[in-house]
Amino acid sequence: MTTPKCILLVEDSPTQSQQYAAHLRANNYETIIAEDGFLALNMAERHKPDLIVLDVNLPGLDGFQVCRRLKRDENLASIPVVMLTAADTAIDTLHGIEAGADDYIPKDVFAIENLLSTLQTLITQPATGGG
Amino acid sequence: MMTTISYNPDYVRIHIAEMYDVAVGRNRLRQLADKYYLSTIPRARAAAAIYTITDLVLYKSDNPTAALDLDIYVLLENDEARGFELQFSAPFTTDISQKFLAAEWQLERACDEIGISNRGSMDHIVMRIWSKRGVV
Repeated sequence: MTTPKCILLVEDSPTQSQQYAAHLRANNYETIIAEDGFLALNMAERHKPDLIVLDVNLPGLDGFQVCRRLKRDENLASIPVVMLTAADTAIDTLHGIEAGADDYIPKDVFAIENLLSTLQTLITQPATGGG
Repeated sequence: MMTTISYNPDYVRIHIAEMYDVAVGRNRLRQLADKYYLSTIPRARAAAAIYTITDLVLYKSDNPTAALDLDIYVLLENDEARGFELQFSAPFTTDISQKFLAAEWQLERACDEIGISNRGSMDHIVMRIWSKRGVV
């Protein structure tokens, strides 16, 4: 059996983080949770997760700021970042991509299905920086 | 070697009348991308393009009952999947290029090529998003 991949879930709502963590665990991912942007950077540095799922609206640093800092840090830049957020407009999506996110998933009715599909793509087949 | 651009015959057609349909469009786009191993970034840009056009047609239109049809194609370059083509058909009652100005920031970043044509009362908008910007 393979070792579960570690996902850092950055989400300030405990209800939502527990919900997403349950889906991830059910799909053989190990999850660790950060509830704000500063803690997310700290945990990324400490745990070096295989992928980071990042909300946009966070206390302290917002998700775009966290993503930019992660991608500027040469020790963390290679970790794929997926933004998972209720902010679903075109402008939000483009800001996320321009901040360096590897994917941007709105919290719509397909969010879980889309997230799991993205994890599979990004963890087994790292982003090539296309686009 | 000469570059040949063609369409994968496997495409998706969606009728968009409300924002829920945009979520369906994003999901179908993702399924196409996964099937043909297109990376996440062009897919996210295509999703932003779909949102932008839908917002223009449904919420910034002079026609409150407006809806649009969207066809999503996978573009092949020498038989290898390289990007998406989004084909929108929508009834516009005023000059669509004026509406595009309002969304210029999004459209410049979301897609690599845009074409607009008009047949009868319908506008047809074609957008291409390549895996790597500036491929064609």
